Amino acid sequence: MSIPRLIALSTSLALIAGAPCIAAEGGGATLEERLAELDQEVRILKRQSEIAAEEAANKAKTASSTNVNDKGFSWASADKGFSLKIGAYVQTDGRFYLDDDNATPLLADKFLVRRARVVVSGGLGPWIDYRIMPDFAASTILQDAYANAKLAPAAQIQVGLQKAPVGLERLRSGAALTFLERGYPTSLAPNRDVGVQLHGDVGTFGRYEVGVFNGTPDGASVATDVNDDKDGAARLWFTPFAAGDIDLLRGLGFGVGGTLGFANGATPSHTSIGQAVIFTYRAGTTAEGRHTRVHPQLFWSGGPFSLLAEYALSQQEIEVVGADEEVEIDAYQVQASWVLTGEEPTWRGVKPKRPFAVGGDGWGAFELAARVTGIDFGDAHDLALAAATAVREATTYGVALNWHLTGNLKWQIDYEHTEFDGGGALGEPDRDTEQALSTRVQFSF
Amino acid sequence: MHRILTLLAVVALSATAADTTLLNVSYDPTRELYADFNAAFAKHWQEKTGKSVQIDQSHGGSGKQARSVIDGLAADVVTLALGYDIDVIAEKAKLLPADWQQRLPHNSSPYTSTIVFVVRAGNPKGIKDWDDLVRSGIKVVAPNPKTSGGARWNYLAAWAYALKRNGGDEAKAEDFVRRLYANVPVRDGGARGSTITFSERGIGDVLLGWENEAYFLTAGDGAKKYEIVTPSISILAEPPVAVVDKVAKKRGTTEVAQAYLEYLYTPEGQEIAARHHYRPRDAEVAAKHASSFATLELVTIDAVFGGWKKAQETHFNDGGVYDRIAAE
Repeated sequence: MSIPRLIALSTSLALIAGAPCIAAEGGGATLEERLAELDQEVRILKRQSEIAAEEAANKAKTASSTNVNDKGFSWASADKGFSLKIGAYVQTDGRFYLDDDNATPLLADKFLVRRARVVVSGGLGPWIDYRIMPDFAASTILQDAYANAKLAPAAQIQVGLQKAPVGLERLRSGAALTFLERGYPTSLAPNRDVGVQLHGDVGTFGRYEVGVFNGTPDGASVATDVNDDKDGAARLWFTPFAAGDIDLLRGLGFGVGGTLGFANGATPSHTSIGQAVIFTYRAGTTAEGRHTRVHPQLFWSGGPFSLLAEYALSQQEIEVVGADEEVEIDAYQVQASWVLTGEEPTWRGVKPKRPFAVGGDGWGAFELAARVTGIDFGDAHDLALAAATAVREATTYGVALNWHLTGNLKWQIDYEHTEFDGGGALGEPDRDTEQALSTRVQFSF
Repeated sequence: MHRILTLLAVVALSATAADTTLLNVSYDPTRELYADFNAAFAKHWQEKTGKSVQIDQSHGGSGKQARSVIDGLAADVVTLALGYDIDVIAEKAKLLPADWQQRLPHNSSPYTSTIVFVVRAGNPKGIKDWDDLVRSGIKVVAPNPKTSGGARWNYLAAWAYALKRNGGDEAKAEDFVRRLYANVPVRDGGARGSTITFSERGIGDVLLGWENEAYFLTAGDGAKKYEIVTPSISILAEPPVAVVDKVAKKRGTTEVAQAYLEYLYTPEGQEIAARHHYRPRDAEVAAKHASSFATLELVTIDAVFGGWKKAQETHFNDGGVYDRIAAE
């Protein structure tokens, strides 16, 4: 029964209680009888309301739930053990190269759909999660397809196509990036790989990840393998101050990731931040032999600031006719951001406190960021294994302005200035400076 | 020193922990019965076997309790209000065999009960029999037949009365029960909930429910506030009990669970039942307590309704007669 009716009856009861005690004319109910009747009505209404609430609560315990909100579409069983969530994110970029007289198609000014991903995830009972994520941007590519068994918070087993646990910025979601493209260390880390990893959280102190995978070339994803050799990958991440009293240190995490394996196959190529190919090995080279990587890394967020720093070293045995060489390529990135509107730039991105709405008074969140990232192919050049047009070194200075209109809509503008050492064409020693002005509109849920 | 004390505490706690625990999933009004019975059985088991047993209780509407067991509540034994609720556990969850009711005497029903009325002291509304419950202005408190076993006994008792009164006319019986439930403004999930609604919340003119609940309510100071009215005819309610085989086997409690239910049939078990106003099966104990129970015509569900399965399908399943009545 409705609360207003309950209040109306209670009020009637109170009014009648205050009136003089009179019997109705013609032998009807006395005032006392009417009071008793009203009292019963109030008690009945109250108990009906309680029973309805009890039944609703019991029903909620056994009813499945359906939710449609800013986090996507989700369905869950009453105990939340079985669930299905559908999300997505789409990034539409505009890439414009300034002072670029080069007619190469890769540096053509363009609009493109950088990522168009559907994320299907959920749980199959209380201890199994799953995630399937295809990307439909350029062609249909399966990015993630794995299941995770949660034996304990500190002991989980994840099997399938997944990000190898190595590169820090690689492990960050493509939807949460501060700049449109990840820095150079990511180009030395494995991307997605098929395998199994044991991982877990050690309280709030940190987490570990250790796995066995097929093995990938630098920056690449693979869905199969061409040899019997497998790569071991591991990462330790420490957050020793997460539960501490020092606010400024709570958001600090640091660690190291790496791989150890044997590669047999084509040598990788590398691109600039503007996505032009800037390094390849010379013809006749193959990746043949030991391949190790190490990635020390750090992320911190405190207040409206964040800092990301990563170094990567990739050592690969390269075979060429008449020689076997171990080539080292290393890269680094230091990236900082400041959310001007005061929100915290967390690992998962920025959620505006006052989202933008047409006709509303919120403007979302504005984030300024700057970075420097570089990659050094000098060793390959010194060993005469680099292609003639390959650069020796690339250093990119970038600034970004990100407008987080809502938790689901973001507009990013980057300017990235890349200087090269070597790789020049037409008699020039150095490749032309790349000036990329890029913009992205991303919606996600 | 601290470590020694900790060790001693662990040893002491281990010594007092029971060797076995049982979970008895029961219907709503049997709290007091099983509080006494469990203490008696635990003492008996300790004397007989030298082992301790702790019995945990769960109480609620019989139908709701059955669903809980089907959904995974690990009951070693069930002691529910009606056989159909245990049949459903056997059929849907396969936790015990379909012929469970033949495993203990009297169709696995160690005691019986019936349905009576409780009114306010002095019986101000002059309630004498079933016909008074359908009078205009009378408020009856009874639980919801969709969740409560006692409520289904209530409903069938009323229907049985109406059938007898109207020469077996089912349509008139339905009309009678419809008018009865039109006078039931509050339908709790279980029998004890209705008892509390009537007594502590002061709702209603008459409580329709278990005989043992009526005696519970009118005991002690209750006699000054309430009276029992025995109708001319009622139904013989036979609450059954059963070991939940798969759970007991998994937990290793089959032997003690079986002994627990068999103890209900012993003279001590029957005495405890009688003391709590459940009609004992044992002839000697029944004779001893005969004056405690009203004499009235009792009909059985088999004779009037063709058994529980038929009664449930006709009246209480989704889309049955009760749903039709409740929707009006």
